[in-house]
Amino acid sequence: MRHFVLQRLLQMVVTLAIVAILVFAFSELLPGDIGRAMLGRFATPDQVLRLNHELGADRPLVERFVDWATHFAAGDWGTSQLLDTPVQSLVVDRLANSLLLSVVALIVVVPLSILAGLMAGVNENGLVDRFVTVVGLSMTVIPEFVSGVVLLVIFAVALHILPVTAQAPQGSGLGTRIEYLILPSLPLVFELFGYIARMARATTLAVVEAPYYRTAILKGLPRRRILTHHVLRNSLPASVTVVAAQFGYLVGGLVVVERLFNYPGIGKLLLDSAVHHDIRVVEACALTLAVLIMVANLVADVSYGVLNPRVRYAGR
Amino acid sequence: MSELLSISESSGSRSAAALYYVRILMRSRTFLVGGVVVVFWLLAAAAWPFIVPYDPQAVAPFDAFSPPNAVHWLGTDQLGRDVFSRVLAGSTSVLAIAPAATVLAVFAGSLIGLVAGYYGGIADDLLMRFVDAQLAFPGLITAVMVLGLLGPSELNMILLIAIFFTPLVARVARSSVLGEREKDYIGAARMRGERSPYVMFIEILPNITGPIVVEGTVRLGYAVFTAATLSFLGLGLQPPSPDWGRTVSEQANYLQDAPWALLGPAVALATLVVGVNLLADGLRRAVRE
Repeated sequence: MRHFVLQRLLQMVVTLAIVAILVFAFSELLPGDIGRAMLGRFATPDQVLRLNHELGADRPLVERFVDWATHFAAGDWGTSQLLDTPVQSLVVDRLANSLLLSVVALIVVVPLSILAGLMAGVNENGLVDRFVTVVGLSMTVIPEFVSGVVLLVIFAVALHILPVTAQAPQGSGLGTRIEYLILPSLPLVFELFGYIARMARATTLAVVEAPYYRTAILKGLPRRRILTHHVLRNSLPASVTVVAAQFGYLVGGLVVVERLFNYPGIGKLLLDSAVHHDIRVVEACALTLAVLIMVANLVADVSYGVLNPRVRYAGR
Repeated sequence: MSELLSISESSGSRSAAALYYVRILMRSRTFLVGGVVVVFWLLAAAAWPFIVPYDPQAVAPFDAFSPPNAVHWLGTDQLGRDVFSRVLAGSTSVLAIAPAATVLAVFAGSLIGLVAGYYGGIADDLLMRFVDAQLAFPGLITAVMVLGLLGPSELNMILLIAIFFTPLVARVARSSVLGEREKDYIGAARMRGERSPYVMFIEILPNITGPIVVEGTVRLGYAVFTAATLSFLGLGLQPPSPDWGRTVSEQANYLQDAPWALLGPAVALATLVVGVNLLADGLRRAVRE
């Protein structure tokens, strides 16, 4: 197990290096002349040259990359041109907001979808099964901003049950902050529900066809015990892996939801900084998200091993 | 002569097979419902200038924020523009961008998948690494970065979506090729001395169109999803375009005053994506049978 984790960490470092090169190349090359992009079209060529020199943008690309990467690794992420604040604290701040939003969504969707998938798998073609396959699929394919808008109109405008904004008033406690996040988290819940529930259903179906499931029923074990001890224990590892693998989708959804609800998270920061050519922030956001997704995938693989004794003991 | 005969025979059986598929599809409720919805929006996208009751861009300040009524079926927005007309006209952009990107991805993906599956080796390894990278990092994040930095553009959006989807189509084509490669008719063609391109395109390709078409339809659903999301983020068409995604993000500012101006394009988009996915689901079942 330890060997496996070490090996995966090593792989991660290599992937991270590749991602860093791509992110750097994208953000430095795509906007064209950085100084021009920052100052706008009315700046004189002289001003542009001066800014490029200040930023070091007139040096060779490889030199700039090494310089940027070493500073980045040392924790010096530069300054945001747009907001005039250190990039690192900005990104960490926004990331915390996004994580809170994701956690609210995951707390709702993970137990709900795994339970729904379990019930659907145990009663194939039953009512829950039809719901999961038809409604779950529809909920998954509808873009987050569409479900977000419909939810906003229903719960915030028509019924006045939930607040329209995602941000609680300054200085409010965690409870109030979470209350404000219920509505924004729902589109993410919709998005993930179908995926996770269908995967949980598929793994449950595999268990239901296994001989030990039939044995458990014929032995006369109570249904609840069969569900928790036989079905759930065997289908859970795969479901957990799916949840972690969906992290990428979740991050994509964050950009959309944060934009719709005007919530200061890392997704909205990435969008705004890209549109406004705030290069250092774009780089920091993209790299942070890449690390996060890689860690999620690692956690998925490791937790699969931890939850599944067959894999856990195989390495001994 | 015998060759002629065999060709006419095989094309005869092929059209019979096509007829068989059509019959299965016509019996599938999901396919029919999806088909009706998609055809409706295709008609709207093509013929809206002849259908719409108002000019989608016509501003009427005194008529602003009027709720749905007999004159304006879906109400008006902050400039007094007719929401119903704008919803119909707004179908054009997404129904141009998404199919264009999908067709590009299906062509490129089938070609790459055929070559990778047929030859194996390095081409195959390379393709699978691309697919891995694709699945590891969300395309939407890359698209936000690239389109944000380059500036909004429909052409770039089409190209980006096509680039993201190509490896995914290629993966499906590849695995279908692997299933066909060892069959007798391929061996027979090789023994006749047919060249590799002939075997790939004339022998294998017609036998793997089913999975490719299904994957293409699934991708079309995702392409509509992605294109609408990107234009919602302001990375596609700019106002005053009636594009659905764009309109929703624009109208979100008037949520309290005119929720109908928001719901119109949102619900329209929801029906389109669900329609395309039902279509894909029906197709998949028909091909599997």
